[in-house]
Amino acid sequence: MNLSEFFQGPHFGRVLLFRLNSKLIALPLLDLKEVLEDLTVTIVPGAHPLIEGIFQLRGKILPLIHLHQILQSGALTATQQSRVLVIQYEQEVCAFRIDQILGIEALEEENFPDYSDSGRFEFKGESGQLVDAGQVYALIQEQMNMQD
Amino acid sequence: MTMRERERELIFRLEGLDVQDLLLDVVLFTSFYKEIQAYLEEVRKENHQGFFIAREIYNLLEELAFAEDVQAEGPRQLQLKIDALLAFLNGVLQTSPSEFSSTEPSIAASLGDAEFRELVPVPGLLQDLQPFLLEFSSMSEYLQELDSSLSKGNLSRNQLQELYRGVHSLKGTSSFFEVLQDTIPPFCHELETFLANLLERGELANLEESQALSRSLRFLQAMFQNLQAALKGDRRRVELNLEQSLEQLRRLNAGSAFEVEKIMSSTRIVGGGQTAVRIPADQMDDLADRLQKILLSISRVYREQDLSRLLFREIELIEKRIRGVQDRILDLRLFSVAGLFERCERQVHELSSRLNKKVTLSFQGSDTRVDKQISDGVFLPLVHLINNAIDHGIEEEREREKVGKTIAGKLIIRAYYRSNRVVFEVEDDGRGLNESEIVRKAAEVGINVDFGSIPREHQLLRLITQPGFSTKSTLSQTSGRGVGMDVVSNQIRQLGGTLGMETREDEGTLFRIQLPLSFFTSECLVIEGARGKLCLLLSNVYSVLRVSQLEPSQNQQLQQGHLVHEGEDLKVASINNSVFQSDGGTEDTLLLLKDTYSNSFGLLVEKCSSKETLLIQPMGNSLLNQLTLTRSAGILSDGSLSCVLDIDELASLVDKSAEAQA
Repeated sequence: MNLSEFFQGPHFGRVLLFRLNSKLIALPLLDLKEVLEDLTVTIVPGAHPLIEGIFQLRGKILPLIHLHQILQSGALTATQQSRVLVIQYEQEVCAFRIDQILGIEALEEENFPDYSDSGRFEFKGESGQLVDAGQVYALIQEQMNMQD
Repeated sequence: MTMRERERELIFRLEGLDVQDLLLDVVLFTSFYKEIQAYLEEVRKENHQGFFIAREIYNLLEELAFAEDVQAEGPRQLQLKIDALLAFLNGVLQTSPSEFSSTEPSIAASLGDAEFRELVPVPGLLQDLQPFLLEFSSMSEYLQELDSSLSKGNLSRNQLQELYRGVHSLKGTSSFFEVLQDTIPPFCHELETFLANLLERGELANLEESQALSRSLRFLQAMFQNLQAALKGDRRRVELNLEQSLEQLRRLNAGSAFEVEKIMSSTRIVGGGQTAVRIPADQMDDLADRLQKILLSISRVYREQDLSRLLFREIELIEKRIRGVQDRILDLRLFSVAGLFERCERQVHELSSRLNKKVTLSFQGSDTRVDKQISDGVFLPLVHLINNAIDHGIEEEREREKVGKTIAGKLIIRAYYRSNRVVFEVEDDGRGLNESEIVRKAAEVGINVDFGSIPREHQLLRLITQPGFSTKSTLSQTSGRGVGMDVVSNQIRQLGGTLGMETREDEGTLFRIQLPLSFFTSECLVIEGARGKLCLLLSNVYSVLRVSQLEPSQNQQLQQGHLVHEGEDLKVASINNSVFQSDGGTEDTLLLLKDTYSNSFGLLVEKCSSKETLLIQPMGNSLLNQLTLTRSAGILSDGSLSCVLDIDELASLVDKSAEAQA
């Protein structure tokens, strides 16, 4: 995402930090809609392999996508710390599983050594990637079209 | 200092603050400015709504510090924001952690970390509105004041100016909240224009203007009351008539650009006539969802073995009543197609008089009720089909006379329900599709037409909906105003529907649009395969057979992907192979199904587990758009979600997989 936009309002650099396998990911807090402990997924016949299935959240049917496949982070291991993040991009809502939530942080400009739109950042000596909901949507749509 | 201590201190500070003193005393001003700055720095790292209010205070302070001439407006705004922050901070400190996490699942609740519990959850949830409402609670009082000044006839220019700024600020702030976006900002926008005109002219021109202003003031007040009630979990609402208020303002503002489309698309008008209430579709969905959950609880109670007869009867009664309420709610989402038909009628008149053709138009099923999305979405395809019928289908008067038809061409537009779909038909008594012409044209562009197994009309329809298959050379001898059928077909597909056609040369053509109903309850058969449960509408199932009880010859046929049943040779596929594309257990049950074209086929499943009445809803998500085999889902009595198979797609899947097997 555009970093200068990310640091100006309404984001102000605030993110949810989490782990996908060994990858450290930061999601702008405003793109996060909800965190779920667990859910029951329904298989959808004919759905794209990047879609694990559907689930319902307060009456709405939402897709659960394989973010770890989209970001190629390697498979997830279900543990007590596993969570499902529900994200929103414009009117679109979807969810994905993650391994562990690390917390809410405010990233500073110095966290981004190359300050590029790749979103690579350093946090407490570890390298991570900033991904916003729009990017998740763009990536999944690109990969779905590619494999079609 | 902990966050809480700092907040307590800030509350203390804010409570004792006098804005006038602040503006006169440079030392006081600077220290307060620094304090807000420090607070901002602090809450920046937290997921904290107080941040937004504090930032506005900070901006105002900056503005005031550099302003050459302090207007009365500035201090008042500052006081408002300070009150809002104060109220917010008090609210935060008084709210116990459990109260925060119980209303809606939030980050706080799911992180399970005490530190996060006092934080307000992510935007979009209801609690976020609290600071917004607090900020404008003083405006609500102010509105009352204005209203009484207005009725006494002594509304001052200053008051109007203040209202104008208030409305402007309300518009800006409310557009930040997704839940308010469709009601408050458009209304404020219109009111703002109205007030600006008023201020420019300097007086209320007539009684209507003063009524409109008074109504708008009350409307805003009622809106605040409703929001406050909603936050407290109170379901009672003051009746609002957004449409009427908007309408009046819009009329008075005539000439100003205003987009009402946005409101139209996301809210539904409920009821009709004078007492219409606009309810956001979300709220309706929520209500339907809550009822569904009550029904689920009831179905769990049913499973209890030692239920007394009395209790059982009572519960049965409760269930019946809840279903009644559920049906009413689903009803509320629906509009009669009469309005849509009226629009079509204008189209017919316009075109028939322009082409100088006499057309007798009749409508059937004007009382059919459909979702707003459907009635909006189907309009253009209908217009295309109507245009084609009048332009290309219905012949010139002389030609009609020659073949013994009435001089005026007949055009019938129909709407009706068919299982889980709503069907629209456009039928004319014109010359019908010219089959040989279409086939010739197809050959020209290199499409080989084989009328073998596929019904002739399907084949023709497939040809004329090909992109680039010009209607001009095939359907029309007149100037081709007809829009390509591929556009129609695409639009219908986007609505999740299908297009069908019947045509007879010299007798006429009928186009049939079938669209899924957005929400509906239907009896379903729950079937099981290797990867879970799926549903089929019961109306599509005409027989359930046990494979073990079939004759050996029939079993052999099943191996080859077909079955001769009551003299008919049906194609058969397995749910695991074709639907789930996986290996699975024994498929012992054979369902005989009929698609909407009344074609029969068979599906082997592992089990038929139950028959249930489901509330079925469309998946409606862009990531699921490419799905064809299932486009909707419902919640089973065990609480799980299950996909509902589309019968026509299933039929073509079975067709393909049976052929592959053979």
